[in-house]
Amino acid sequence: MAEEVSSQMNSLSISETNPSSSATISLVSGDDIVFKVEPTIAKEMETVQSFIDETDGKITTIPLPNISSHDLPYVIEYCEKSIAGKITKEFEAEFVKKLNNEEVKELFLAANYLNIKKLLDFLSQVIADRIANKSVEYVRRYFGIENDFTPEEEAKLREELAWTFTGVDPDDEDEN
Amino acid sequence: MISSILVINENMKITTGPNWLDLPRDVTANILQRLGTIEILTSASQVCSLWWNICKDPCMWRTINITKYGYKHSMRNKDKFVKICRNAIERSCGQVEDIDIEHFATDDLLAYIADNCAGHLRHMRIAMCAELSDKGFCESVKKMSQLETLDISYQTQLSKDSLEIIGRYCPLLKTLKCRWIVANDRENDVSFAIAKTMPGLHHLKICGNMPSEDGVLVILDGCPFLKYLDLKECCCYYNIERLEKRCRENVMDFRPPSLHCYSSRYDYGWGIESENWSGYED
Repeated sequence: MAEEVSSQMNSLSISETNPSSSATISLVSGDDIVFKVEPTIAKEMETVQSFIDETDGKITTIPLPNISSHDLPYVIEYCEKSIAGKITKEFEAEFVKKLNNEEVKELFLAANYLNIKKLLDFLSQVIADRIANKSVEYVRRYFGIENDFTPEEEAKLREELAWTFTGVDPDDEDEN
Repeated sequence: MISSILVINENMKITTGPNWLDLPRDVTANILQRLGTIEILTSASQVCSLWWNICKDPCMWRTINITKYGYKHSMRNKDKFVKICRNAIERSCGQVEDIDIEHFATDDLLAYIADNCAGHLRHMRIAMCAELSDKGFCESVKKMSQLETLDISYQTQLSKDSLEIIGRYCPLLKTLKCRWIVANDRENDVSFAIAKTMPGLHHLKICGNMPSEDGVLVILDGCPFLKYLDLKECCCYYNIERLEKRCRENVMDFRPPSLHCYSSRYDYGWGIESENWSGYED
């Protein structure tokens, strides 16, 4: 009994000097909005967690200057569902329905920056679905990527792929 | 430590708009790999020199998926599709793990797949390929000893012999899907072939005018590890209660036939959705 009390005391005294053990984590978005989340949420975000670990838990306010207050709630929502084991196809379908192309891309970059594997995989699929069956030009526009092939390279590339066909041209009946 | 992270963040903030070309290669590849094989070849790989380079990596071609083009389009472009499939296999340097093709596979193509992919090929779906013969299929599948999942739906030309060959030569097979493979199975030959040669099966989806109720019992006896049996689209009469009881004894997930299978599956064969093995869609 006495031992239990002392260990409890011990943990109490630790938590005084080490506020991270159960304290909420403050995530500060690029536009300076503070989001308080449970430490379990932070654990889902590898980048945030390693930041906390590296400072021995002394710092619980994490600036995330390249994530906006518009995107961060989506990330937190996904992480909460993930912890609860409630990532279903239905949830993901609803989740993605709310997002336009720009938001999907922003969230993808946020997930990449925060290193949230599950969210990153999910959004990779969403992006793949959105560029599926699209032309080279569409994909370039979607990602804002410049065509950096030299005319010679492009000719070589065409030659190399001459046996395929340009663009995917599904039957009308096959279009979604 | 803090300041260094802040500096990095500060730098990232300064760059205007995200540059997708700055992403690590594997992160970009993770997106591109999810496209169909034809899309990677005719679209993604031509976007820019970096993506062209990423698409040269053999690991981009571990999954070959040439589906969803429908019967007419696939057959009209059959030669090209076959060439694309072979090209993708070449690019994979023998690392193909997962192949999913519809309509256009021939005996030759399957032989090419067997000769060049057998080492790593774990998942294969060959569906609705009318030009594939029973003999050609048997010869090729004999070499595919690493197969764990196989879907041969709508390969109506396959006989019970081909099922025995699968069972004998693919000892790791855990999942088998065969929808509408033989017109009828009055002697329960298919059921016996499965029961006799595939004792390690975990998942089975089978449908059509078979198996009969006796056939199902034969399968249940022969496949003690079966955890999932899907007869949803079967058009046979079953004593469901009896089967359910039997399945409960084996502690397994049993999907009995839905009564409306005839009407809802009237258009079987064309435009049936692809069932993907890699988990990103089903």
